[in-house]
Amino acid sequence: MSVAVEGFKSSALLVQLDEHFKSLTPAQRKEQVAKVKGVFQFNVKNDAGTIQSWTLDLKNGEGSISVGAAKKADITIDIADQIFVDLAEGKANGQKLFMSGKIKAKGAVMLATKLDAVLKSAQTKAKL
Amino acid sequence: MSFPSLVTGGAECGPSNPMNGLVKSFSRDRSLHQDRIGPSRNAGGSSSGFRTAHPGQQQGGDQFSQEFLQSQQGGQQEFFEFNEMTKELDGIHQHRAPITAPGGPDWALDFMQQNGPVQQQHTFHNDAQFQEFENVFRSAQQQHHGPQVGGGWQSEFAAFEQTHGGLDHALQPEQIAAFEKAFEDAKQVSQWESEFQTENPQGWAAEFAAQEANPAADQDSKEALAKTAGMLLESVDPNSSEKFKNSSFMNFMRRLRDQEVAIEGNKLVEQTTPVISVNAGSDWAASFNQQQDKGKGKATDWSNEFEQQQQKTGGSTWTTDFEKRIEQHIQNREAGGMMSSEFAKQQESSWAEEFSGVAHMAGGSTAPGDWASQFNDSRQNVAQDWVNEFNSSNAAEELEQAFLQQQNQLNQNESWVETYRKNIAHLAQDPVDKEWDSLQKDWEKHEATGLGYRASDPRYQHYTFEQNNPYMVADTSKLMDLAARGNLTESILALEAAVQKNSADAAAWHQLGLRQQENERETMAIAALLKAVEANPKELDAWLALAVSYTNENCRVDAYDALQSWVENSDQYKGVMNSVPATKGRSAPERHEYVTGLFLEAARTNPGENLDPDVQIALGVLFNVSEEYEKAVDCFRAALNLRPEDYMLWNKYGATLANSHNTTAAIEAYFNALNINPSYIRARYNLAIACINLGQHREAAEHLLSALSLQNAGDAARGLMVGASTAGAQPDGGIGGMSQNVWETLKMAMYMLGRSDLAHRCETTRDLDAFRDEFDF
Repeated sequence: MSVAVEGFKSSALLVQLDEHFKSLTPAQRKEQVAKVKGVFQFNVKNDAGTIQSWTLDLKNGEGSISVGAAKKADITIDIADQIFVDLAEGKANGQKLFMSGKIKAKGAVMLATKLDAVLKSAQTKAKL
Repeated sequence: MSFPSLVTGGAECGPSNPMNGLVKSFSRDRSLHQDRIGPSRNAGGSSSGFRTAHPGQQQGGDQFSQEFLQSQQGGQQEFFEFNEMTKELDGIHQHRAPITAPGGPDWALDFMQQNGPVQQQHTFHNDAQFQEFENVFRSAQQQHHGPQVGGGWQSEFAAFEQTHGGLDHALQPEQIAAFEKAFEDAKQVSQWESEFQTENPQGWAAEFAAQEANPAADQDSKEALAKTAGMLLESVDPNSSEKFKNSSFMNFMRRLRDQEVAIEGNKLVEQTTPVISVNAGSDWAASFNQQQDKGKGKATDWSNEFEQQQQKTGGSTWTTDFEKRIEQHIQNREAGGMMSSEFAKQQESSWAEEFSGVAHMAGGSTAPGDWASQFNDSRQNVAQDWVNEFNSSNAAEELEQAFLQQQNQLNQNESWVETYRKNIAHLAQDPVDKEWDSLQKDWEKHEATGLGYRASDPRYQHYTFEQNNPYMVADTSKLMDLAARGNLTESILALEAAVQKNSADAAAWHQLGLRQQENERETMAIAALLKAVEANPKELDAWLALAVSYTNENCRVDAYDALQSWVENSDQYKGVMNSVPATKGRSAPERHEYVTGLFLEAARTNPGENLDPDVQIALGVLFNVSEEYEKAVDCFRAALNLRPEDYMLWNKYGATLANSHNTTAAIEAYFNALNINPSYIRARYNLAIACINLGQHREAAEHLLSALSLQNAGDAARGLMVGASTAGAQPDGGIGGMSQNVWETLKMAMYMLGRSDLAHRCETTRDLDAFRDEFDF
């Protein structure tokens, strides 16, 4: 089932993240889960003011991405649609966004440090 | 706030930042000479004006001497040797923000201009707080018959500083007049010392002067002191607190009045008094009392500090000395009215000469070089006495207390420094702040290591051949030739056939791996390259290509291992293994450090023109792994200079630029690669990613579709070659030729274009024709 939601630019990004995880071997997925150990809930607000939640579970099993709020999120991240895309594309620095209040995090804030790396791993990088 | 004027008790005011000036006055006290100068204006009146007048004098004198010092430093060294003195002066200058001092003559001008803005004196009276204080001090002054003249001169200096930032004003007639007036004052000043000692035997000032002149104060002075103390006691508000009335200061005053105690020569009179709560503005006497109380502890420090400073720098002594000399100079010059023309002349001639003349007049036949010793003399003869005087006069306490009092009013018993510290305290101590600190460290750690994988994908270990390869029937000797001449698909098939016939053909495996990279099929490239190095570890470039593929797959440690194997198996470079100390760490940063060290050493063996492009490429890959893209760009560029026709190198260069967010330059590099090899799938794929990063999703989609189309065309061609009998038998219909990740990227682009319908097709039918109607490829 696709994690795409109409009207959100970051939808494509989460699809990409989802595809990336699906492309990994179970062992690699477990490796990722072991490294991150957290459930992220993203509350993404688009330009129209609609808020959509996604859950990135990198704590249980082989990890998963799903639409909707988490049953038990370790960290809840409020972020604007475009900023999420910028962050994932490496155009924005997550730390700066946190510091400047453009990203708001509740819960285990330390997990946010791992978000950058998670997103980066799924980033479409140019191939050498 | 006009604080010094507050202390002065005069209607005149100081510079815009009097607190600053006050602090300066304390840290580098010149009140010695001002003490001598200031009260001269009080000469005719009661000596009780002495105390209230002199801090303001300090202010003026400070600036006066400062003007001189600056001009001296600015321009006088050329005229005569002042080195020794200048050194001494440095101590003073360090305390002050430098003001441009164009040269000696300007000093004279400055001096004249100082008298210009007399009207500035009253600008501070608007301030309510000042007014309050002023009233207090004015009443105190009136009580003691203190004349108001004293403040005028130095406030003129102060006002000058405010209003005349630049020093190059033209000489105005009124300035000349004011200047003359100032020198009349100065003349009085010069005579003050004697006047002070002879004309005011009853006053405080005389008391101090007497101390100075004669350590054993005469009876008259004691009486005067007692009288003054009595006045002070009378002036105390009878309604003030019991604590105040019983304070040690008041007791001390009573004892002074009753002549139970007298000031003994130069000795600092020790007082032990409780700290009394500030009742600001009630009375001058109260203020003074508080000063005594609160300043007590610090007064000792201040005087000590002052003594130390004086001993260290001699600066304040010198200024005193200077003023004395000026006085003498003025006396020698007779009329004050002449001074304006004198100073006008000095503008043209040099002040230094003038000053030198002063030195001669003052010091007799002593050369300018003897100034230093003169300073010492005057320090001993004059300044030291004053230090003692200062100690006993409590002038420092007075100023300090007035300062504190001011702060009390402003900040409710809390200095702004404390307020500031309190305000920022939470920044240093807040646990959230610490959390951010560790957050930052954590972040940096992840930034450095990333989330790499080990190359554990089983597909890496097994190369899956294309079924029904038509080249399997071809002659083995022709296969390599076919691989070199054919298009990408043909080349891959030929190479696959070659390695199937001879699995130990490392060169064929190597070529197959490179072709699969070119074809944007990383997994198969890794599998082929692993076979190549397995067959022949000396197939060096296979190691390098393997490192490239691992880097693309984010298998960082494996990339480092492959590059290390390149060095180990290189006959040319394996020597560097001995020159770089081995590390046992297996973490990505440790591995990076070690392997980079190897290649940097390898690069050093071939410096300059002889640089090895392979080493540069390896370094470029290394810096890609560690995401030091700027370094990587440099390495690839250096390699490109030697291999301008290497389209795969152009792509590496472009990809590195893209990853460092230099998309425009990356696109240019990709086009260079595609010009050399139009069927270079990976360059097209990268081009599409660059377009996505630029937000050009449609162009990106078209590039991706072109890449898929090329792969598909290859498959179609292969199908034709294989013949009708096998074409229908292939269940994958040639789709296997198209790269999974190209389709995935296309799907991304479709989502971004808001075409989830087409995105869905990227997962299911993968039918290029579905896109042909809407995209041009």
